[in-house]
Amino acid sequence: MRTALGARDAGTLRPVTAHDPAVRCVGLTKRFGPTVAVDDVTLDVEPGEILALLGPSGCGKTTFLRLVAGFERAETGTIELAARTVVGHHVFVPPERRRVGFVFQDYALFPHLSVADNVGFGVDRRSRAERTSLTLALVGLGGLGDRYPHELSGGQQQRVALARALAPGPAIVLLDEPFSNLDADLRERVRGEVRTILRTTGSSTVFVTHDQEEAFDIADRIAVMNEGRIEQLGRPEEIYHTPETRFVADFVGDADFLPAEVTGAELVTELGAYPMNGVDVEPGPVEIMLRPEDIRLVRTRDRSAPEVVGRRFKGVLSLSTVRLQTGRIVTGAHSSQEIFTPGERVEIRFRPDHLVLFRGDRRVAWIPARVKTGTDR
Amino acid sequence: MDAAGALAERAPSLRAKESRRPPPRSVAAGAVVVALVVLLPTAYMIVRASEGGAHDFLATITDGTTFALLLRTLALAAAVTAGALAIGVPLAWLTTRTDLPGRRVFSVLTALPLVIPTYVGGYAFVAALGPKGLAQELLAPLGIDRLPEIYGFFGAWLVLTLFTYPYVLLTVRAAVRRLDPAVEEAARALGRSDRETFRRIVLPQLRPAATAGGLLVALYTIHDFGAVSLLRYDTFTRSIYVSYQGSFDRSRAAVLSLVLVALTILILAVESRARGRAAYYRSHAGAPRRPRERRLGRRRWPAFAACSALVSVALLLPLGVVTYWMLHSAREGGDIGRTLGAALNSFEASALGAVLAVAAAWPIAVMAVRFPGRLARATERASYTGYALPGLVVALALVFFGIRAAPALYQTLVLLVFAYIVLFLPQAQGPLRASLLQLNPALEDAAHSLGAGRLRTVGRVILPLVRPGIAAGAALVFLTAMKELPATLLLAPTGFRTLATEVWTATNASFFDRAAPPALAIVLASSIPLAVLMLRERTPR
Repeated sequence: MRTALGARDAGTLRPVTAHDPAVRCVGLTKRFGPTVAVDDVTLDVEPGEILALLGPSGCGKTTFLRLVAGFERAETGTIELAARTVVGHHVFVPPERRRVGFVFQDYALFPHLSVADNVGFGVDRRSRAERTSLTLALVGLGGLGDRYPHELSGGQQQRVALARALAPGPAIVLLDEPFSNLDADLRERVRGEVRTILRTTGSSTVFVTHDQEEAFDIADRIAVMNEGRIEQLGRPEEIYHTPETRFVADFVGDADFLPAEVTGAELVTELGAYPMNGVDVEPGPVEIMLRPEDIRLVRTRDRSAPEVVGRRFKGVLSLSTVRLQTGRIVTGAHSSQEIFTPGERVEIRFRPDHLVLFRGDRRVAWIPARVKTGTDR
Repeated sequence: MDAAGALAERAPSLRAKESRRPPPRSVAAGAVVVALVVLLPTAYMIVRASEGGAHDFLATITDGTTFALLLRTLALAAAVTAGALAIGVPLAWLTTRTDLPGRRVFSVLTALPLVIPTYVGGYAFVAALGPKGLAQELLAPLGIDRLPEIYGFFGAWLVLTLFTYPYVLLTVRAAVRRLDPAVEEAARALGRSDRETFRRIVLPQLRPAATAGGLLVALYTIHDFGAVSLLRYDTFTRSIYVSYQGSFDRSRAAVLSLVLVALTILILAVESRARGRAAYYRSHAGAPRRPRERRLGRRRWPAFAACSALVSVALLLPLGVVTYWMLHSAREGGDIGRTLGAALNSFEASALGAVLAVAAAWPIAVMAVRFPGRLARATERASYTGYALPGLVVALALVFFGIRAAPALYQTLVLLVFAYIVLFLPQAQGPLRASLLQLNPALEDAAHSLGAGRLRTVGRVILPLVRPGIAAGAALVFLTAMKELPATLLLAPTGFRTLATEVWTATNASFFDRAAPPALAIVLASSIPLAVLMLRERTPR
């Protein structure tokens, strides 16, 4: 499929190797007036990989996607798609010659064209009929080619948008908040279907979301973005358990931060002292990250013990917030069948799998669990 | 200025964010060229007016007759505006929120005088009440040969009021429909009486719309040529035309035109301020419930009588008169070929104008919707020149331009169509812009990402989707051009008679039967856009 590129393409070609990333961005920067939407982003997407760009609204994730598609022009930086430079010094390949499949947040289906004509829009005439029916079958809309977009449900429109993007056999599939227009109950199902389709076609994919659950569910790797920069890039469990910055710890999952002091071989916190297990950190004040599942609550009659101040029912489990003696608030997770009422006193059992230490905004150390012996989690 | 067009322009403009991408060079260049072309008549008029030198210019402006003319024009505008407000505001309320008998029928009928151009209305009144008119013909056997004078201020005022009040009616009615009934209920819950609520809550909310509608009427009045010329009341337009006809003093016509343009700009400035405040009062879209219907009680039947009287005078009388003279003409074996020829000429000029106006509007609308910025704002403003200029002034400027700079074009259809483009560009642009705004920009991105270049994107995605806007714009320009009078009168090649010029010349010569068939054709043609507008207002979407 790479030979399909015409000679008119402004992009430069070099021999493709098996290890060439589907997308390679180096030092990509995009400004809108005074605001820097994308700030010096360097990122590779491996072939066949699904990568999520996760971040709060306005963090630049959609702009990044539009830069890759060619809808926006970067000020500096380069983009290669499958080893072909599409953005670089004096190079700008327009979107129609980049072979990207873009799924828009509101789908942007052509309202005046039937489903089949939408899906076949990007396919050349010779293979149009065949590719259209194949792709429609792939997304499970085999019989609906003659319908018009407005005659379909939201979930079906979503799949038409995906089919339209996939039909021309793109080098990369880009999805912009693809599930945000769906009802909550539908969202999870469609998410599963989309993941299956992308896996089946082996498409290299970048998708943008502000929903961490969505990112965890679909992505092989997650890039957490904030204020135009990538704060951390890694597998979902890396992002969750060993966040590199306070922002990532805070944005991804629930986290409380507790001040602590590194004194030589020990870490002293309000909840007790922990050995540093040989990890070398300059002595002084730090903060440790507490995930709810690190904290167990046990009822006590001791009136001086920490007090339960609130709870949130989450279905599978419940979260209870507790005020420590110092007035700090921490959150513990427990079975939702166990109910702690505000005002009750609890003892806190802090038994972390590992400890993440922050100094300022950045992680300074990661201390593996005491009991385990050096193996990966 | 046409009803549907004027109302379309009243729609809130969606100020998009500053453009991120620069516009394609072809689009930007097209928009600039159109803007320059549209500004040409004004520029030329300024050149022409200043040719007489500063002395002549000042002499004309400070001339006592000019001042008198200004007073006469303003007096008419003020009287017509007051009359239109006095009819339009209560009528808007009566036809939307009360138990007026036959409310639905009246809400349609009272808007209909809009389809009667003022010169047709003028014709109807002259043909009914003027010398050698219908009334005289009917009353002469009874020995009555003196009727109240229809010519002059009173006649002009009556005709203009009766055929422009729908501008107030429609703007205020839209505002009444936007009123949130919950606000009135809140006032009642806070202890205000029904009457107090109306005075302190409802009326203040309608004031901006009434102001806007009233200014529209004022603008229409000072621009009007047809009614004032047929009813022989001297305002700027009539005086300009007379100066131009008595061709020894064309500088005076040019200077008077500039004064009229200045007056227009003044009114438009006040109007845009009024409109800005109107937005402040607007309640959120999607009124939650049907508002309560007010009982008129004892005033129910008097209100009905008043509405019936209005419909009789403003709608039935002109239609009746036209029909009478139509039959008269048929009896006398009137020349149907003459009307047919005029209709064909009208069709030709209007169709050319429609196609070219839409083509000219395209780059301006694309710039305004897709590439907002300084250039887009400037070209869009320029394109509204036609809305601000009286047709007579544009025509006069083009006459000067044609004689001096382009003699080859003078006395050809080119100049007339040119005038139509300048005058009706806003009409073409309104629907085009609206349909472009509805077009999701992501559709273009989607087409590009699927490998479609600019041509294929325009041909396969954009054009099919904005086709309704193109059609609506073209139809609107076509039908407005059909009834345009002053520019057609001045610029049509010698011997090129259109429906509008036929009505005007025949009425002036008191050939009332000859004016009837073209008048009827014009009324029918201009009914079409209003019918479409009303159907659209009705169908939920």
